[in-house]
Amino acid sequence: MSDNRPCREELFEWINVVSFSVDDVKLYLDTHPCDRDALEYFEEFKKQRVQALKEYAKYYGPLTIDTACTPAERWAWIDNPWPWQEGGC
Amino acid sequence: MWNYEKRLQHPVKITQPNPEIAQVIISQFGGPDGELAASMRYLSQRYTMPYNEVTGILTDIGREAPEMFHLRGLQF
Amino acid sequence: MPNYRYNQQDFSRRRGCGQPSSVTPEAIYPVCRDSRSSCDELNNMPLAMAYVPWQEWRNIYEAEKGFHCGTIFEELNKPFRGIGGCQNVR
Repeated sequence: MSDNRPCREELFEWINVVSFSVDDVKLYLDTHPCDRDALEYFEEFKKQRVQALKEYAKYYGPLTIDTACTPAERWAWIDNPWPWQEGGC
Repeated sequence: MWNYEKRLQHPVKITQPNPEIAQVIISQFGGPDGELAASMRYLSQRYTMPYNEVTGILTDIGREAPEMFHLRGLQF
Repeated sequence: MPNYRYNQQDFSRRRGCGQPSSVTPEAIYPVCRDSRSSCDELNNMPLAMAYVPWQEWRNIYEAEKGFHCGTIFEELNKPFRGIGGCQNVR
């Protein structure tokens, strides 16, 4: 890559990894709402997830409605592949 | 109520479509004892749950089943 | 799961034969196979109570490993082996 854009597959994989960590600690926190270690873990991975999603949306289009940016001239949400299509998932 | 993300929780890549396995997976997902039915039960039971912790768990586990909507096994 | 509803007369009737079957009892009644005592850590617990141990925050996997195992908790990583549900078998 000539510019600094991150590799799409790697960034996508990373989003899956950190999102899964958030999902699992979320279940733990449901029954352990005051566990400080778990709360810190959640904060850390939530932060990484938000960052990764923003970066992905910047280069490759939004994965969530919150990262869809309106200044663009076209509603990119429908352009990029859906998970069941080629290039998606 | 639901926030949609354009990705699966865990990536799915079918290299060898197999109708028999797809049948098994679908049978686990659908029907009265399937994951989807369980998910619907969890999502309904939250409304009368007196403990917040359990309401949270019912919500979070109940919402995991719709992940399975992307049944790539159907692509055979 | 063994079917404990075998009743000799009923069984013969359902098999459609009027005569006593020549099948040996071992073939009709399931053999009792109880190997649970070798890995039963609940031996000293009081009877007739259900237990769910409380989970603690410990042994958390690295993010990538957790993702591939399907859990971030090492204690909950229990891949299916088909060996009958023994505890602490890795």
